[in-house]
Parts: sequence; structure tokens; C-alpha cells
Amino acid sequence: MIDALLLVSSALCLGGAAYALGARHLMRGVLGLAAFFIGAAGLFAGMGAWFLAAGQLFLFVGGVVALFVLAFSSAPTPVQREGTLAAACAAGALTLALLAFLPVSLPQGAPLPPAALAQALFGEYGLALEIALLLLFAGIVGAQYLLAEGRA
Amino acid sequence: MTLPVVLGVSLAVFALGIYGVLAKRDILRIAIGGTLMLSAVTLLLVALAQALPQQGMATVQAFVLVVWAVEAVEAIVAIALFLYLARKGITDIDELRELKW
Amino acid sequence: MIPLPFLIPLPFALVMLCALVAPARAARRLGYLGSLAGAATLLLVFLSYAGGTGTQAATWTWFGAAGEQFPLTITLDALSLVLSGIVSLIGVAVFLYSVGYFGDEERPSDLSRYYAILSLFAASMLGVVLSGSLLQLFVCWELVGISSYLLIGFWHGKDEAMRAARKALLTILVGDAFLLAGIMLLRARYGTFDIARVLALARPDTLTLLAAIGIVVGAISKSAQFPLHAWLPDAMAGPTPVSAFLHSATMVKAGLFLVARMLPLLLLVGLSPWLAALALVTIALSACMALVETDIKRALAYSTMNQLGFVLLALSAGAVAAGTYHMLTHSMFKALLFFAAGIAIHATGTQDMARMRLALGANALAIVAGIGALALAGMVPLSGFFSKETILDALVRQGNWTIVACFMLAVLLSAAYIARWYLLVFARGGRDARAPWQMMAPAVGLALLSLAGGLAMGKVFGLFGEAAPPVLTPWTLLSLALVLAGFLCTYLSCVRGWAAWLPGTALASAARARFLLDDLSAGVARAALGVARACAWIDGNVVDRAVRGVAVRMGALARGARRMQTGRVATYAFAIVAGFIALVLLLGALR
Repeated sequence: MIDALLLVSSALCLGGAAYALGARHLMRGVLGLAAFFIGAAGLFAGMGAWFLAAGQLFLFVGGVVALFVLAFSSAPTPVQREGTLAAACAAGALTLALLAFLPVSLPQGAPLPPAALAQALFGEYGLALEIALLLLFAGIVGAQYLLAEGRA
Repeated sequence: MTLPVVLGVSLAVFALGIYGVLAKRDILRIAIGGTLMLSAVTLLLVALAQALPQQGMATVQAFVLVVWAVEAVEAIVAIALFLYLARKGITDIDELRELKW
Repeated sequence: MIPLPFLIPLPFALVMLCALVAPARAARRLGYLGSLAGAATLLLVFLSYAGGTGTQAATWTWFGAAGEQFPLTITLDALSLVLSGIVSLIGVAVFLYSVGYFGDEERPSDLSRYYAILSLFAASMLGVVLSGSLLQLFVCWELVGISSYLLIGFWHGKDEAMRAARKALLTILVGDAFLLAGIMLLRARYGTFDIARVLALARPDTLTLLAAIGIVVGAISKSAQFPLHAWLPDAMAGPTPVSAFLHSATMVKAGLFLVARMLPLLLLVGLSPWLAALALVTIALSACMALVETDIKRALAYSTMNQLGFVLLALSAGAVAAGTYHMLTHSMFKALLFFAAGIAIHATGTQDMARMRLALGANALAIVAGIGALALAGMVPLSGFFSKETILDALVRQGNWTIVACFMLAVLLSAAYIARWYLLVFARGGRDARAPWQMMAPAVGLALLSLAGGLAMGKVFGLFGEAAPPVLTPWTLLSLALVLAGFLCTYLSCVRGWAAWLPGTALASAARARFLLDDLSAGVARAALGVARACAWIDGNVVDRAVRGVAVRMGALARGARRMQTGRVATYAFAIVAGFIALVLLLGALR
């Protein structure tokens, strides 16, 4: 028995992803990406990770997609052409390969309170968080440098 | 019942992401593909973590947050590169051939 | 304390060093120095002999290798004494003669070179005859061969001389290869290079036989016996003192010396009949060729071959004393004849006997040349007579009448050819030959020695511990008669013109063509050259091609490999994905 939320979210994910890559116009593709993120949020929620679901919506739909739209409007891209067959085969092969490993059923667990997540994130994995933030900072500085005016 | 569905979706999206990275010549599309891959992985991890006790789930969710940070960086840098190249008039990555022998 | 015998080669070695550093002005005087060195050597030889008769082996470590010591050994016995005496005596004469021989057209640097190599030769020849170890002997043997090559080719502007030098060297090297093989076989079989020990341990088996054959081949090449004789007549292209010293008196004796030295071994393995056969063939061929030769020095070269055949014949019968005594007398009268030939060439400006007409009669040249000729023919009372008789005696005692008969025929022929030589050079009413005293004096000296040489017979045989054979026997008289018969034949044929059909016979033509043996050896050399060319072709086309092929393949491989670097991002990304898939599959397979 499949949950309705799960169904809709899965459909959004798959459809969005396919449209993101397949759409002829990049703007439409970006919209597809947004749909994917919404679907992913739904899936997170269905699995009991509410915080993640919310985060996904705020950060990705609100942040990353907006960034893409901004980029696109600064420099229009031409209509894209298709890539190679090999790439498609690689993707298919990977799917099949990975399918061989993964268990198909696991019991469901209880949802996690955000307090516990915060405790884990800032307690035990504080160092990882800091490094990730440092990485973000480096990325921003790098992007700024690349795009500064007057660079050759 | 959740698990096989999420597994399937995750794998499919990951495959699509690979396809996007390998086959597309548009820089932004490649960035999109990368983002799809990372997201698919996060979905998968959370799905598998349902079997674990709460402590494990906390760990996984923390990890997912870190992955998001990295994903954001990836998007930033990819877009910056795209804008940089677009200023030079290069939009197709096949035009970048300097590593060719 | 270095024992006295080791000093014997020293005087000549010192002369060599002097010659290498001498200033240009002194170059001519080096000849006198060489003569003095020869005299000093002779003195040393006598002193060593007086120091102890019988075999002395003095040892001095030369080098050590692979945990074994190789000492320098000197063997001082009758054989080495006589031969070192020959080298020093003829050395005195030749160095002095060289002073007069080389006129002003020679550059001082060339003269220094000449004297240096001549001294080197003398010292190494002494090394050969004095060696107690086969290894030492071989080293000195090679030195002798090299000096011979350098001296024949002394005038390196002359094509003919260079070719002759190369031919001599190559022939001798062939012999040397066999000799080395023989020495190594002996070493393998008996575990030592020491000659005395090898002779004591010798047993007649296959390895020893093969070694003996190797030794004989080496000796044959050095002594110009059939079939490795072709180099000797051509070697006459060198200066006459060289022909006198090396190619009649000393170097060519080295081969026979080796045979004499190793004779117990050779007889033990039963090579005696083969040696005799070789000697007889050599004698026959060389006598025929000497009878038709027109060049003054080449005729003497064939005569050298002939006389050395006599020595070899004596050695094959086991008569070492007789063979050695004949080596002694032969070196004296042969050097004398060459000296005379050198004076004749200087006087007439040609080497062709048919064009020479020197004065017969009471002038010095005719007399000394005559003495030499009579000595060679074996006329009483000259030294040659006595030495020939000792050989004859040995052959008679051996009892093989075929050999004796052949020897008798050879006596007749040798008398005939030397008479022909003399008559062609000297004719009634010819012109005088003036020569500087440095050329005349050695010739006169040797002539006197040839006259008195018979007196030494007892002494020489005494050294060997044998009694000299009796001089007046029916065989002696028979051989004397044959000598006179030979003279008569020549007189009748050359002066009276009888038997004018003789030069037209097949035998005479064959002799003039040198029995095609020269062409045979040239053919062998060409065949060897062909083999060398084939090897070179294989090396260039097969081996080099293979190596280049490897390089080409590597290049192709590299070109194929670099297609991986397309520069396209998609390619690299694909590589990453593919690698990842492979890794996953691998992990799965391992589980």
C-alpha cells in the first residue's frame, strides 16, 4: 500500500529531474529542478525527516534555483544539443549495478525531533559543520574572484 | 513500503544526474546534473537510516546537512564558472580543449 | 735478487726505450747501440750458461688471478741457450748493418721507430726462447708477430709492403689462434702452463693430440711451412735487415723452436710421420719455387722455407740436437746471404736478378756471398756441411729410406738453386759493388763464422748431452757428391744452356705460379670476409630492425594511449563513472 504523499512526491522527483535535463529551454529546465526539489522535500517528510524537508524547500527551492535563474538571466544560453549514447549507457548500467546491492525492505522508524538533530550537528559533528561552512566561504570568495570586473 | 519506492526514485535520479553530467554540453545543465546526483544520495541515506535507532538517524541527518553545504558550494562555483566563460563567449564545454594532447 | 737469466732480454729492452726517447740527431747512432746491446746479451747468455748447465727454472710471480699465481719462469737449457745465442749474435750484425743500409732519405723519426721495433722484436724473441711457461711464451710470441708486422710495413707508403704486412699478420694470427687453443687444451688437461710439468705429465690421449695439433699449426704459421707459408716471400717487401733478422735467422725459427721444445709431447701423440710429411712437402715445393724465382730476396725466402723444412724433418725424427745445430748454421749463412743481397740491391738499384750483373772475382762481395752460398749448399768445410750431415745421420738412423731418398734429392736441389742464385747475381765482367763498412763488416763476420762453424758442432751437441755424429761416412760422401752434382746441373743449364726445355715444363709453370697456393689462401681470406659481411648484414637488417621495431611499436602504443586525452570534460567524467562502476562490481564480486 503506497502512501499518496509518497506517490506524488516520487512523481514530482522523477518528472522534475527528467524535465530539468530534457527541456530545450534552460529556464524551463530550472523550473523542473524546482519541481524535483519539492518532490524530494515530500519524500523527506514521508520518511519522518521533517527538518530536512523544510530545509530542502528553503535552501534549494529558494536558494539554488533562484541562483540558477539569476545566472541564466545574466548570460543567455543557446539551445542545447544532445550528448553521447555512452553516457546514457553508463547511467543505466550504474542503476542496475547498484540495484544488486541494496536491501529492499527495512522497518520504518520514528520521526526525529529537531532538537536531537541540532544536538548531533553542533555537538558531535561540529567539526564537520565548521569545515563545510569554511568550504562555503571558500566557494563564495572564489566565485567573487572569478567574476570580478577587470579580470582577463 | 517506503523503502523500495525511495530507493527506486533515488537510483533513477542518480542515473539521470550521471547522464546529465556526461552527455550535456551546456555548463548549467551539467551543474544541474551534479545537483541531482547529490540530492539522490541524500534521499537514499535517509531512507536507509530509518532502520537505525534515533541516534543513527540524527547522525544521518547531520550528514545530509553537511552534504547540502557542499552541494551549495558546487552550485556556486559552477555558476561562477559559467558566468566567467559566458563573458568570453564560451557556452559549450566542448570548446574547452586545452588538456588535449 | 733477480736471477741472471732474467736479465737477458734487458739490453734490447733498454735500446727500445732509448729509441723511443732519442733526439733526431742521435737516430742513426741507435744502430751502434743496438749492436752493443746484442753483444751484451751474448755475454749474459754465456754467463748464464756458465752459471749452471742443465735446466734451470727461476720463478718470479708475474700476476695472480682467480686465486692462482702465475709465475714468470725461465728455462735455461741447451735449446734456449743456442737460440738466444743466435738472436744476440745475429742481432749484433743486423743492427750494425742497418746503420749502413738506411741512407739519408729516411727521416730520423722513422729510424727511431725502426730501431725501437727491432729491439722490441729482439727482446720478445728472447722471451719466447727463454720462457718456461706456455702463457709467457704465448705473450712473447704475439709480440714477435706484431713486431714483424710493424717491420714489414715499415715503409707504410708502399702499398706492396702494407699488403705483405697484413698478409703476414693474418696468417700468423690464424696460427696463433690454433696455438692458443692448444695451450688452453693443455691447461685444461694437465692443469698447468708450465712446460716442464706438461712434458712430464703428458699422456697420449685425445685432448693432448688436439692440443699438439694446435701447437703444430701455430709453429707452421710462424715458420712458413706448408700450407701457411704464403706470407714469407711477400714479407721480403720490408727492409733487407728485417728480412735478414726476422725472416731468415730468428722469427721463423720460433716456430721450429716451439716444435723442438714440445717435441716429447708431439712424438708421444704420434705426430712424427705428419711432421715429416709436412716437412717433405715444404721442401719439395720451396725448392721448385726457388729454382724459378727471379727476385733476389724472394729466392732467398724460398730457400729459407726449404732449409727450415730440413730442420723440421730432423725434429720429426726426434733429433733435437741436429735440428738446433742446423738452425744455428742456417741463421748465420742466411743472414750473410741477405746482407749480400742488400748490398747488391743498393749497388744495382733493382731486385730483379735477371738485371743484375755484379762483378765476379776477388772483390769482397762476391767472396762473402760465395761463402754463404757454399755454406747453404752444404759444401765442405763450411758450417752448412756439418749441420747437414748431422741431419742426414739422424735420418739414416731413423731408418725410413723414403725420407732419406727425398732428403738426398733435396740436397741436390738446394745446391742447384743456390748456385743458380749466385750465378744470376754475379757474372763475369760485371760491375763493382761498393758498400759502407757498416754493411760489409757484418757480412764478413758472418762469413768467417760460416767458415769456422763446423768447429762448434761438438760443443753444441755437448750441450744436449749427445755425441756428435761422425763426419766421414759413406752417406757423407754421397751427399757431397750430390751437392757437386747440383752445382754441375746449374752450371750446365745456366751457363752452357743445356736442357733449355726445362723452364717450359708443366712443373716449372706450376712453380712460377707458386702452385696456386697463394691464390688458395687469398680465396680463404675472401670467404672469411664474406662470412663477416653476412654477419654485418644480419646485424644491420635483423638485429637493428628488431630494436627499431620495438621503438616503433612503443611509439604506436603511445600514440594510441594519448587518444585518451581528448581534452573534453565529458570524456574525463565518463572515465570517472566507468571506474566507479568497475569498482562497485569488483566489490560485489568479492562479496
